[in-house]
Amino acid sequence: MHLRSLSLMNLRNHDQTDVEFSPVLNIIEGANGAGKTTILEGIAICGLSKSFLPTTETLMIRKTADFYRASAAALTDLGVPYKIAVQYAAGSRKMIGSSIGENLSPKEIIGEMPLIILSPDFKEITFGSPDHRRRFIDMMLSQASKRYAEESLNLKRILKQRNNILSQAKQHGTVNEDILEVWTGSFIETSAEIAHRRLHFISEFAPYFLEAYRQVTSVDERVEIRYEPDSLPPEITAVSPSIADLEAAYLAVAKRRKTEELRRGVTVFGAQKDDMYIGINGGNAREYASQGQHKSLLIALKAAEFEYLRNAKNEMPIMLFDDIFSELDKMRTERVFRNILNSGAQTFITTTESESLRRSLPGGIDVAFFRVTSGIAERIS
Amino acid sequence: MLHTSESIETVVELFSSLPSIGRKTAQRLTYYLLKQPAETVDKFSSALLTMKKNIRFCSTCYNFTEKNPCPICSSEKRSRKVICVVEEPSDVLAIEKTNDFYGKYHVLHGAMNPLEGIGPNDLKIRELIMRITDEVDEVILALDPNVEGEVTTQYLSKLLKPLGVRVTRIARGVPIGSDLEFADEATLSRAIEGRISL
Repeated sequence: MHLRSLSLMNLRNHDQTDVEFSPVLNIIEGANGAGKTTILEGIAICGLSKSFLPTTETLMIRKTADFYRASAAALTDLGVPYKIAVQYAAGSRKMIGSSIGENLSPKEIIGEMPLIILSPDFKEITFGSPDHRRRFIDMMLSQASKRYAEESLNLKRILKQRNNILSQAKQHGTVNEDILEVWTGSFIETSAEIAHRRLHFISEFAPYFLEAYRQVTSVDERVEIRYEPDSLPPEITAVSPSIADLEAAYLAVAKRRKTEELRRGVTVFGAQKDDMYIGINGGNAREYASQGQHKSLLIALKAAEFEYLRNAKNEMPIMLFDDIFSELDKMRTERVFRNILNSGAQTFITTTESESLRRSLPGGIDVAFFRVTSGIAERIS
Repeated sequence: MLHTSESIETVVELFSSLPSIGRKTAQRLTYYLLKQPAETVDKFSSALLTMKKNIRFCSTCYNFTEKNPCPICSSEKRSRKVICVVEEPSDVLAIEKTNDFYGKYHVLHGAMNPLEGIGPNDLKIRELIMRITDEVDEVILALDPNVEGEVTTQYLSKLLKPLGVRVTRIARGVPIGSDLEFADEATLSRAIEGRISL
């Protein structure tokens, strides 16, 4: 897949931006706050229905306007045109239309234009709390499978409803057992479905990750990655369990911790608490990895995500790199850069200064440069 | 700031309070009505009043009706052995359009939704249980295919099964008459899961 053009209206400081891209490499330069990242956010809105940054939708609308709009025209690897437009006005539902149809829900477009995004915010994946790793897995699997996207939305909804019942129970000191039981049943069913898919996913993902890490670093380091589902005993998850096995395990947990849940008024187990263990040289990367190793791990995760999604979708993902070269040293930069160019994926890079990037470019490559100043983007030669 | 008269504004406000009608559509409807002869507007207002006055719940199935019991419940042609349970009166209409269901209905008027404070007692569930006599062979659960509909289905199934009645649910699958490749992937994935042997 590659993007041919992008239009932004009232998105952050962009009033009206229309740009056409190179199918290979696009370098977007500009000062801090000029609106470089907004171009990547616009692409993310077209691919994922929302920005990759933690942000409030209404804050993304330009100050004097009452809606934003992002639209893109792309071509699949087989040369089929794909168009998508997302519009959001404060207080109303997001309007999404694409080549699939009009009035779409977010889950209907997620994955149609697969994206790999690397931004400084994603550092948290390797040393932050588990929710950053879950979001990493969810973003990838939602793009790979619409069923996963739907199940993960269902889990959020069921969890909200079940927590409401539990908090009412805590408040009033009583609970309708029959009602709690059906919501618990539904919660367990969906949790098991998601845990099952994540377990299967990690077994496919791990080899890509190990290979990617080996390529990023030159030294011989031992890395590992595995799924750590909340409250499921290792003897169950170790032997590729069926959905029924997982349901039975969750059911046992639900029984054991019922009193605790009623006392605390909240769900204390389930797939919404899962984690992914990343190990380096025998220790937990969160605690043991050096600054440099964290960077290498993150790049390896993203490179593996690229391989995984490309195989799952049978379509080349689009790469978005937000200001990563300021975070990486020269050696890693060059290695990463070479790998990206070799992959053949369309790539977008934002940077505050493009001079060093320019110098490391191989000759004959189809590259487009853009300069962004106060929300105005122009292509430069 | 009022650009028009107060009475026009009131009508616009009223229209835009209706589901799926925004302010612009409300304005268009208002100005359209304003241009019509008085008799037309009169027809509208009296039709609305008559509807509100004459329509009540059927005391058996809780669908909207003018006569109690409703035409479906009182029909001799329809089987008393099968009851199809739906969330809303509009769902009855949808199934009636198929012309393929010959049983009776039961309208719950919603689904269980703790966040909105809707529990089993707020739905016509007790009334459904009262209808399960020896005469009834099967209860078909045809609730919305979302989280709340799913949980309500499970809850009803638990209540109904001990009464010795056959409890079924409608199938989840791909739409007929189009190509498989155009079915949405999540639905197709469930259809494969719910496959049946031949």
